[in-house]
Amino acid sequence: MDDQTILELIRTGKNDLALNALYRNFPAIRKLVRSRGGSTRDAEDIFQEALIILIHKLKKDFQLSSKLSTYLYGVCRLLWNEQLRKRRLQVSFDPVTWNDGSLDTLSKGELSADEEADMHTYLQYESRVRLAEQALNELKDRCLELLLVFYHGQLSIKEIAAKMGYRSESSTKNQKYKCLEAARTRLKELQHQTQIL
Amino acid sequence: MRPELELMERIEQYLSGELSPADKTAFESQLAVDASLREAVKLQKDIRFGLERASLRGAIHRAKQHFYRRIWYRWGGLGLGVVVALVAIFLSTHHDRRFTVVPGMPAATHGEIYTIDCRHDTLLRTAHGAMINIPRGSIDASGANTVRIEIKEAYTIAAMLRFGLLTQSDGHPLSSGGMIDIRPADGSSAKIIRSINVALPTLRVEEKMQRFKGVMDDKGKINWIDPHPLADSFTQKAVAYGKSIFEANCRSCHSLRSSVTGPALAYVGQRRSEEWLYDFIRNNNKVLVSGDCYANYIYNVYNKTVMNTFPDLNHTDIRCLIDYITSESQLIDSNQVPNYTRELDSCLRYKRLASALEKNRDALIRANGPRTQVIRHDDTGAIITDTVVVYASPASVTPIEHPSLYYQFTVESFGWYNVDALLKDLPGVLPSKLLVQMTPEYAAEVNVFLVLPGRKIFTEGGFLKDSKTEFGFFTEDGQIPLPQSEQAYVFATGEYHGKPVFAVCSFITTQQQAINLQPAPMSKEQITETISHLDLNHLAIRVADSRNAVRIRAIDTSLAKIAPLKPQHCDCDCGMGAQKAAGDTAVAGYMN
Repeated sequence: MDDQTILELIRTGKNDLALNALYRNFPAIRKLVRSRGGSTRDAEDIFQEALIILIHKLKKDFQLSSKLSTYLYGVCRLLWNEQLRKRRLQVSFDPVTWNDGSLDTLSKGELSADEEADMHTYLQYESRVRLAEQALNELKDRCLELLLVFYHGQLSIKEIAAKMGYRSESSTKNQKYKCLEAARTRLKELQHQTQIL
Repeated sequence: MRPELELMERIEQYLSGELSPADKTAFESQLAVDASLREAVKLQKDIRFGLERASLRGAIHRAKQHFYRRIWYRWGGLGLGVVVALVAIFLSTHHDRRFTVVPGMPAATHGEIYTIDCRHDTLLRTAHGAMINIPRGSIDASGANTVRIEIKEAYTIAAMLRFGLLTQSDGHPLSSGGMIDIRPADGSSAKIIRSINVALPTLRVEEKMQRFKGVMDDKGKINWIDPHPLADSFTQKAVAYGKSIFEANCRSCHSLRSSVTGPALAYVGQRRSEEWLYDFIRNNNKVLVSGDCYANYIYNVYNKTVMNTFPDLNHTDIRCLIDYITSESQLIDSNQVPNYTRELDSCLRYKRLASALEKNRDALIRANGPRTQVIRHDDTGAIITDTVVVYASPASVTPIEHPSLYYQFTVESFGWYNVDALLKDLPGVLPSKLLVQMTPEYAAEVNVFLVLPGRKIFTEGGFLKDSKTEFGFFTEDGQIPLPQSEQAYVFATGEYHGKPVFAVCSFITTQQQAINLQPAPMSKEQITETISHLDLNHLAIRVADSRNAVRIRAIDTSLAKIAPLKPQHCDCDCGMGAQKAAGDTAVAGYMN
């Protein structure tokens, strides 16, 4: 599958097919990470972050200056270098915190100046998303599932009610907003805590 | 909905662009002046980002699984099924100290002795399946070419106790997948000076498993220290992948520990072969249709619940799935998991014995002859066979022949005639209609006879056309030429549920009659007594035990004895047609 097809798939929301194709780059990333002291698990984590970054950018009509594989390799190399630095400093891995300082490692050649600037905004956005993700993960599984099903938007409310086993459409909707309220309350707390820190 | 929830719904509609232009303008103007609304919108927007991310992570996870599936498919031939992991290593360099027994433990037994040539690389496979790779130069034998080493392996709690091994790390208990102790034998002074590789077999693989080093203290107690993560092994991945298959495909109907919609799956790898599981998981219908006993048995036990087919799972998927189940099974007491092979074996054994017994029983019943035997003698005393009824329009009734089980009736007549005697133009004989009615359960088990003692007429009846409860004696519509106003009898003989049954009705002939006979179980003596009161003009009716009654009863007892072998919730009937009945010898034990 060529890059153009993959881009088209992502723009039309067919993430699953696109990701299957993108995952073919993983052996190269694994080799990279393992040759620099990481495990396969590390490689998987790094690659996941890189894919998230890529998809986020592509959704925003971001123009690539290189091949997708080169871009992914560059991002992974950057993330892993950062990760190694963190480990030397005995800090546990947290991708949210790698925006504090050493963005200088970005200019390693694979990324253009525009891409670097983009990375900056991305990292800010990323910390917001991480917090929201954390709030969502602290919800009950059923709540998160319900919100995800709604978010996905492929099922009608009637189908959702049947799938999740709610009695009526109105109680499904009521439940959805209760879950959303819980997530919102928790996110607010988390944001407050981060500001204090 | 509460007002707060209503507001949230409105924000959601705004964020997903579902508001009408007018509503949108109204909402935005409110947004401009209301700070708390702005904050709420921002929060909900963030939540939407979070949901988008969570859904993306899900998609990446699926892509990862897809990727590994593809890779494993390609490497499928490499023997992923072998569950081998490095679990706990105890490398002893304290060769000068003997392996002392922990107080209260049984004496440590000796391990196995191997002789190693130090000049070459050596690969040992031990009695219990560990693989030890000793590269050249890793043992310093003070110049000697060969060295004897002693290896102790412990993979079960029993073995650990026997060798007096403890599983403690700085006072904290460890859960162990296995331990190995390698030392020079005979107290020699050889030393392990370079690392040797050890692979231990274990049935259980866990992500958190680590390699420990054993250090002995002054009292001979071992402390396991220096935990080291296991290298990324294929096995771990196989098990993790197997788990994902299980969660995605099996979890909704199966649990490992207990029966849910389908049977508990713990230890399924020990109960069924991999090929069987492969066929069954991919298309269980095909296996069921093939008459596979185990499959049909399970199917019956679970109320004929249909299992989904999974034609997309390949060999590697299923092997990983089995590896995962085998690994998880180690945490479950195998006695708590229903083992259907055991029940099925019992079922098959029952079926084999029962079918042999039933075969014998059928043969004995056939040899018994008819349930009611009719013997006719002519006036000179010679036995005659029935004269054939030629005249038939509509068709004449057909007597039914029942096999005799435990009892046999004998009706003996001297110089009596069949009904065809009535067809001669005798004076006073008129076309008549005679029916005998009976409840269906008895009608199916008896023979019915008409007796006209004054005319020496004795004939057997049969069912009327399309009836299972009404008997006639000449044609299928109940017609029969009868002399009028004469003494007559109808009687029924047979057996029902192991008891002889008999009924008789005395009547005076007319042109139109329907007689209700009600047979009832009676003892042989009661039947003889009843018959003795009838004026039958020397027609003899006797009842006795059938020829093979004793042997048939013995078989019945045997069948009752083996009944407990038959599991309760299954009729054991699965493709049994092909099962050969065992010979009589196998049955003899149960008959005596």
